[in-house]
Amino acid sequence: MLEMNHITKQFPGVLALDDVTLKADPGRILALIGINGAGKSTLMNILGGILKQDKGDILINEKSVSMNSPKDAEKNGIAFIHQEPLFFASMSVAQNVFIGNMFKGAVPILTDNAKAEKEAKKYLELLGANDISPHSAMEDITIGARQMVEIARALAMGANTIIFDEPTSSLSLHEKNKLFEVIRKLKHEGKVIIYISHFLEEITELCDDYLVLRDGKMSGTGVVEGLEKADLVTMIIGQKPAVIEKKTVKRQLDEVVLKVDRIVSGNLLRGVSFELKKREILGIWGLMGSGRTELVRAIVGLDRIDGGMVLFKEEGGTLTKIKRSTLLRKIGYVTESRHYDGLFLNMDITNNCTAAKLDSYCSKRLKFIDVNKEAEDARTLIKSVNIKVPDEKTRASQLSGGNQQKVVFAKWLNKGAPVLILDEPTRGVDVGSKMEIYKTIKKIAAEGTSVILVSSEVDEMVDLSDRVIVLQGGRIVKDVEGPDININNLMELALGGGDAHE
Amino acid sequence: MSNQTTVTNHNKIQTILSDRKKALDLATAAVAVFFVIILCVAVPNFLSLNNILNLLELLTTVGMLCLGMTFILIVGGIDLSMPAVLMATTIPGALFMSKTGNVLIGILIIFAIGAIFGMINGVAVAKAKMIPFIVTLSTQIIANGFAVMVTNSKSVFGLPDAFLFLGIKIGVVPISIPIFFIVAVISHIILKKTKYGRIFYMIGQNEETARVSGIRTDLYIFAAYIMASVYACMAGILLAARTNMAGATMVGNTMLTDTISAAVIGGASLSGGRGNIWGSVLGALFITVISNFINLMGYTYYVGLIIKGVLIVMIIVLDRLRNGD
Repeated sequence: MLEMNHITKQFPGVLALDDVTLKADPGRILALIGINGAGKSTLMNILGGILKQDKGDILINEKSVSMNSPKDAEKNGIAFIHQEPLFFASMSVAQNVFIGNMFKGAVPILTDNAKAEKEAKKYLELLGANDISPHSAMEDITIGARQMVEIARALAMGANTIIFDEPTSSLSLHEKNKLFEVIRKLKHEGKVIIYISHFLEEITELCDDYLVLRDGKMSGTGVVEGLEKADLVTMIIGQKPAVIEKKTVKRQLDEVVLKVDRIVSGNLLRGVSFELKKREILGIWGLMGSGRTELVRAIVGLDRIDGGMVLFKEEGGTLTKIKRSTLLRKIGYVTESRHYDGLFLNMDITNNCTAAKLDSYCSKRLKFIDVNKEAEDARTLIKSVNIKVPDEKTRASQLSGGNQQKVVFAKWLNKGAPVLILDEPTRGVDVGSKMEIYKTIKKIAAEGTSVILVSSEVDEMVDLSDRVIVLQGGRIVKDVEGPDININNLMELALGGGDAHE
Repeated sequence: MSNQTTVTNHNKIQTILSDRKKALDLATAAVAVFFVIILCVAVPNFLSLNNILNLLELLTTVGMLCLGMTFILIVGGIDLSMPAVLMATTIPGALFMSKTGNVLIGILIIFAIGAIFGMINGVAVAKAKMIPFIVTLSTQIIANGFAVMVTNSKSVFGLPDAFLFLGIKIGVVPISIPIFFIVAVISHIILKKTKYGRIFYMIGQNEETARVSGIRTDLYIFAAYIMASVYACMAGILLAARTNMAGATMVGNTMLTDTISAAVIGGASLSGGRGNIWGSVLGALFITVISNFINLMGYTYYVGLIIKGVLIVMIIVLDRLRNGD
């Protein structure tokens, strides 16, 4: 029996967990439910020894334990099965099962692979995964099989408590059913199982008990049997007014500036089509793994596409098919991760602000850069988006997250792109900066920029979007407008069901 | 009030940081001065005009290669084939000139072959996304093979006078010295004043951000490899004109490490996005001085290598401490 009693965890500026109690019995499956940011991960990181709680204690079989490191969690028989299985790609299945404690060979520094393979076979058979050869390389087996290997590893470690973190998000229906069988088997063997998921269908199908978190607090706990789906949704998203007044300004939206036609990409996007109108803020909404980011990356040409096309209308032109590699030169794209592909961290604010329209600062023939004009524009931008810095020569790496994000915005405002794609525009940004960024987004849309907004924050979606398309499993399932854009509706549409991935 | 405290704290940190930076700057300067003093004491004619001009003339080869390498390093790549390309381009050009006496076409041949090697590197790295180290290592082997094949491992002598003009002296000053510095100034202007230089830095700093910002990164990376080959050609031309010879031994085994070391001493980083022309010129000067010192002191080649290696490591450690990374 696993108990986490009255766990409280404070992060700078946010109470991530507020007096949360979790009880999980052996032989039962506990569903841990909540939207992104509800505190699920923080709670599990505390259990896994990655974070330390401020208050509260953890009991295993009524004995208090302290988790100071992942090693402690392992010692106490706690194992995590991750959303994306973690593994060593070129090593064999058997080596991955016994990664932490290889069997010693005849000579001390060698490992006994034959023995490892024999032992691994045993664990895999226990899971009913006879078809996985312990000798195969991890990179050669399917994602579902990798997950089985991860579970086998947990068993080999002697785990009594197994936590599944959204394990079905990249599985096929067949693999999912197989996984559920395994989880039930583990349950009957008396393991403590915690199952984290967004999908209501999965929870009612698989789990015995539930614990719902919302904004770091417990918003409901009990037995799954007899639970109404509507009640569960309320617990997840809270009682909010059914309809939030949508903005009163009705904009003239008829000129299509960007048209996406049946885009197919990778194994996620399966024919997505939509139109973006001038001055519109179009939200793309869906849970993690629904293909939101993949969709925008495919549109701008950063990811390969296998089918479909993008049409773009230039100022005063007509809607024409565009070579995808050229789209980024015409539009703006605030990426999901500013450190990875949003900023030049070691360059100053000026250079960052002018990066997307260098040509306009260059002399005609020899392309000398007019640094004075650059600095002047940078100073104007610093004022207009309110970046808090001593001067424009400050390096981007020295700014706070909120100010860094404003620099990314400044770069695109400076370019004056007719279409701006925003992927998680306020991730890791403080509340003050967030409000300023919202103001900026609304302002540029009113002035004629068309915006595509991808966000996992429902409030942001509702506040900003004129129209929202809902993605599920790489497909558009719904297109909502006006008063239908409200928190309850969006949450329900996104949670909709686990049937999106067949 | 508390705001003021943070400001003072901030200033204090700044002062400490700049003090540390100053101390390290001083240390670097002190090492350099110390080194020059040792040179002057140990080598009686080190500071003679003749030796200095000799040094600068030697500098032109490693220096010219180092300028090209600087561009490549800034863009986040590396070109191991530069000295080999120097030979593989200069030798056929020289062979042609010595046979026909046509200097113009000879020089064109040099640059044309250089462009081909640059294109091979550029396409492989920028378009096929292969690892620069592996690509240019292969080109190096190809270029070396080509150089020996063309000459049948014999050297080419007897170059036309019109070509040897590039190796003459005006008064006491070899003409290659001003040519090198003019090229360095132009390189500096390209790198620091123009759009192209800015984009090279941007790509080296963060290629992903550059691509999202609408920059055709592959085109610029391709161009950088072409440039590196062009610099190798220029180095080869000056070297052949100075020595009236072109052959498979015209640059030494250590030329490649000398070139990369010079650029890194000058502030370039193997992880891209850093470096500048004057740093690289100073780095090349440093390498040349060490080689010269070893020569003048009469150490054997192998002892010389050890001394060189140790000094390079020392300078780089100091430099990294100073830049705080």
